[in-house]
Amino acid sequence: MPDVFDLEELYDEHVQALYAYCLELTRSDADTKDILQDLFTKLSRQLKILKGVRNVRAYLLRLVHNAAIDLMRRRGTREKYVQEMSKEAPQIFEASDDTDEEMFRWALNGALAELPEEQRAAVHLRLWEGMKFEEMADLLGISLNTVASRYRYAIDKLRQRLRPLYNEIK
Amino acid sequence: MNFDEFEAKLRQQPRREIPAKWREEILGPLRRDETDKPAPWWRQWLWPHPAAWGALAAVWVAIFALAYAGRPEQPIASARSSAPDMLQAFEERTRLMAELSGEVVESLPSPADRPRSARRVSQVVV
Repeated sequence: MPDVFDLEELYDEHVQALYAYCLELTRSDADTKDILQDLFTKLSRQLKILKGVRNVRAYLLRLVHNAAIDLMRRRGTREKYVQEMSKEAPQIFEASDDTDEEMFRWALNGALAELPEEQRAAVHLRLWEGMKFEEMADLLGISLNTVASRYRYAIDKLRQRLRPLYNEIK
Repeated sequence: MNFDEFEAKLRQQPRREIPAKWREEILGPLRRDETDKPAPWWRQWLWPHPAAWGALAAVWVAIFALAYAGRPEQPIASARSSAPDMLQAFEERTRLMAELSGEVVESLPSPADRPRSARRVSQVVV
């Protein structure tokens, strides 16, 4: 746990994870960029808030989570629907040269977009951040049982939605 | 952490990389903010000609040093009055005041003429 934090080092070390998580929640490149810009501006003014933080990555993910949820709540329902109708959900996975893989990623992207935000958050933190349920509960500020059940519901929905394709390309 | 086959398949899907240009777009303005921070007031005040201000300060220091070095020594011993002189001056003044107010003052023997036991009484006004 360093006493002095360098903004650029923090960026290089954590921004990929923050970007992926934020994009997962907001499903918008523009919003993700706004949130990250805001986060790093705040950090540049008071890097000392990280002093004493045991898990910097989890702390930053929580800041991003709160900012993304705030943004989505501030947005009116109408604006949200207009936005969803006007554009497709951005691809959150890397493109693949393999057609089957590309198709699976495209389907997974769509299936994730259909999940409620809290389930998406649980799936993301568990699968792509490799977090334990205890860490996820701490980050999201909810009980262990709640986070575990959110994850299970989400995985069941994804499995159901992707099963035909998954069985075919397996 | 145990994942089943399906979960493992999901985990393998690589997330999109953050656009490289964002690094400069996010951190660039913060770096500029850092360099654009206003200098402290004293530096802003001195900034136009720091060498001139420094030279002026050096001249003042030299003037003070010369003034201190050229100061005449004070004769400390002569400045102090001795106790008998002060006593004499006091008696002189008392007598003068008494004369002015028309009172008669018995001339007192000088302290040196009195017996040692009476020397502490310095004046008697009748």
